[in-house]
Amino acid sequence: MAKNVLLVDDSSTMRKIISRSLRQAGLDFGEIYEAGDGLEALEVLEKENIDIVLSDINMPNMNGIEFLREKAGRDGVKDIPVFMISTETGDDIIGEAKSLGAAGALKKPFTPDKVNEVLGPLM
Amino acid sequence: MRVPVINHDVLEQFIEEVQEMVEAYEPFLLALKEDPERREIEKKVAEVYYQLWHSIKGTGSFLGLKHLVYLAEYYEYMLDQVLSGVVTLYFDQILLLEKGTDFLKNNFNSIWQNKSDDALAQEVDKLVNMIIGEATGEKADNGFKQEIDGRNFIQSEMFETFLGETRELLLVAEQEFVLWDYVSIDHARIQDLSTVINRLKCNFVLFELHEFERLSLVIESTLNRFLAGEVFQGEYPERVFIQSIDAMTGVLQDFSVSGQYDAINIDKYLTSLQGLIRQPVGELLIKAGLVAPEAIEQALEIQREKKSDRPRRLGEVLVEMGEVTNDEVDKALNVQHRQRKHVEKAWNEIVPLKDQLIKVEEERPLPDKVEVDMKTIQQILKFVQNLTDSYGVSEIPKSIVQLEQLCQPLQIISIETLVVRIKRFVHDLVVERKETVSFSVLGADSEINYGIIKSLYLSIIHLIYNAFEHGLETVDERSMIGKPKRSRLRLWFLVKGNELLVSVEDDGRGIDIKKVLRQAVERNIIYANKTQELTNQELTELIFELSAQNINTDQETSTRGLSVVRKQLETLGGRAEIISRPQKGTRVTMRIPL
Repeated sequence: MAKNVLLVDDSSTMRKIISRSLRQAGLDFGEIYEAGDGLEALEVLEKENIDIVLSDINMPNMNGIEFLREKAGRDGVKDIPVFMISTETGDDIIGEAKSLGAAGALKKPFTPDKVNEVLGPLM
Repeated sequence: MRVPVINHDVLEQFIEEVQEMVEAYEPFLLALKEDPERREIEKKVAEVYYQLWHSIKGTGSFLGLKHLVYLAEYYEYMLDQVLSGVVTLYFDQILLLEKGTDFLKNNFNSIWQNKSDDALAQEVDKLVNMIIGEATGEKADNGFKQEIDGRNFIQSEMFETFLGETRELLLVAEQEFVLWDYVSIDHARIQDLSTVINRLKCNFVLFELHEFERLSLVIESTLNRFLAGEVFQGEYPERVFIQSIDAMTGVLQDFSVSGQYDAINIDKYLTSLQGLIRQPVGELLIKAGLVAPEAIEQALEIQREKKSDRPRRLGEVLVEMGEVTNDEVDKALNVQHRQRKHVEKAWNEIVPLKDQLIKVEEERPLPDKVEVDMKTIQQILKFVQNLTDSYGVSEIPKSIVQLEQLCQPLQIISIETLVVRIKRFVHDLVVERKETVSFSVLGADSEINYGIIKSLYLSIIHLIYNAFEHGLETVDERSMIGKPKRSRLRLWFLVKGNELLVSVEDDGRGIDIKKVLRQAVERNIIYANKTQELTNQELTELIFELSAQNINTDQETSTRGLSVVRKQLETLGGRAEIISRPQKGTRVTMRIPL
């Protein structure tokens, strides 16, 4: 069954790159939704049917960490898996994200192979 | 490296996105420039520009625009420091942000045309050096250097100057030590030599060559002890000094050839130097923990008292006093003896075998740089110009064109030697006053006119001195009002249109405007009811006017300083502007028409 993805990143260019990588991975992705920050992402989560979230960490208005926190308190959406995507690979920030419920991390920009590796098991 | 065709649409979108961000954020930067105190604007600027450079870093690395990414990393670091509250966004950092956006605006087209950022390498390096230069003034303690990539920051032109000066100093020192027999009996000459070593030490401090700094320090203090009356042991003490000088010269030689230097172990030189001064028996015994200093004092007194008798050695007196045994005294004497042997050994090490001497001399490079007076250079340039002009519209012979090209490097005289001198001046002030100041110089690249800076040199020095005298606060004062411990002092050069701007800026107390206005009213320079309406320019005039008046009654150097500034500016047809805010700092900008 096709899975819908939500991409959260403040750079539209980056979102374009990532959605391309997702399409090229050859997995059964359905709709790819986009949001520019944590706040927008929460709105989309409430409105649409999302199966996987890929979120950047550094964003204005509500960053990735704050987004995780907020999401964890909302019953309808708290169980949707979130993968952090970031140029940082600092262990501490990824660790914090994981402790707040993130399912994993991907260093961006990533190749279709990487997408397969990390998201493949969920499909 | 060109961006592959499949990513051209991404590149296009990337450029569009960055362009939009640059345009959208510029008003914030301008607002901050107008009013640097507004904390909220400062925070906003830091946030948005962090976003900008962070995006550039992210997408840039996907597209392979490695020079942009390199630049973005540095801007990110700088802004991260601001966001985490370690530093505030000062004038010069705002300037750097501006330069960054200008750089982007100027190069969007080229990136799109070439589908790469390879052409931007040099400009990026320049910007990066400026950011580093700005940051290391403060961050050196926090290991900022190591975080980046451990390379040596010294910009190449400055290093040439440093090398040249240091080589000369080492040469002078070497020559004096070679003539030690004549030098050692001339007190003044030894003092001059000690000064030369001190200047060497300062050079090493400025460029953070710590082992050499230490070595120079020990040489200097050894010479000073000699001046104070202590005696050198060993037949040829100068060999030990020459050994150290040679070591330093050798390393600098390697550096100037290969651009790298290997840290050397100076321990053996230090030991040799320390061994020069004969350690008295008393000191050795104290060091060995066998005797207390007070006992030595007593023994010395006894020794002095009973002078009429056969003169007794300190060791004997101490044994009599029951402080030490004969054995222990013998041991100390042995140590003394060993130290002397050590010194002699050091001497033997540095004198090469006969064959080697000639070989070394054969291979030693001869000086091949000429010193020419600037006036002569100007004359030469003028001749060449006249020569090329004399051809008018007809074709200039190839040889003349070549001559013109050869003269190109003579046109630009770098102000680095002046900047080095200014830095040393600041360094000495800091040491003298035991202050914590971070000083840095911005914009001192080759495009700045040497002649003008030379004419402004004294003004710059005086403005800096004024900042120390009146502006900068103590560490306690600063921590009480929540300022970072280190005071900041900045000197920057900027060419804007057809004006040269030179600014000296500090983040200290600021000028007591109330006091200035009070004095001005008292002396009928302005009316009491006019004090609110003064522009910056008028206020500046006032301050200069008051100091000119004060100069007859006031012996303060600061007032003298402003008179110097005024005079120098008049000669150049320039003017000054003072911007000052209480507790925020003062900036004096000199504007000179080009």
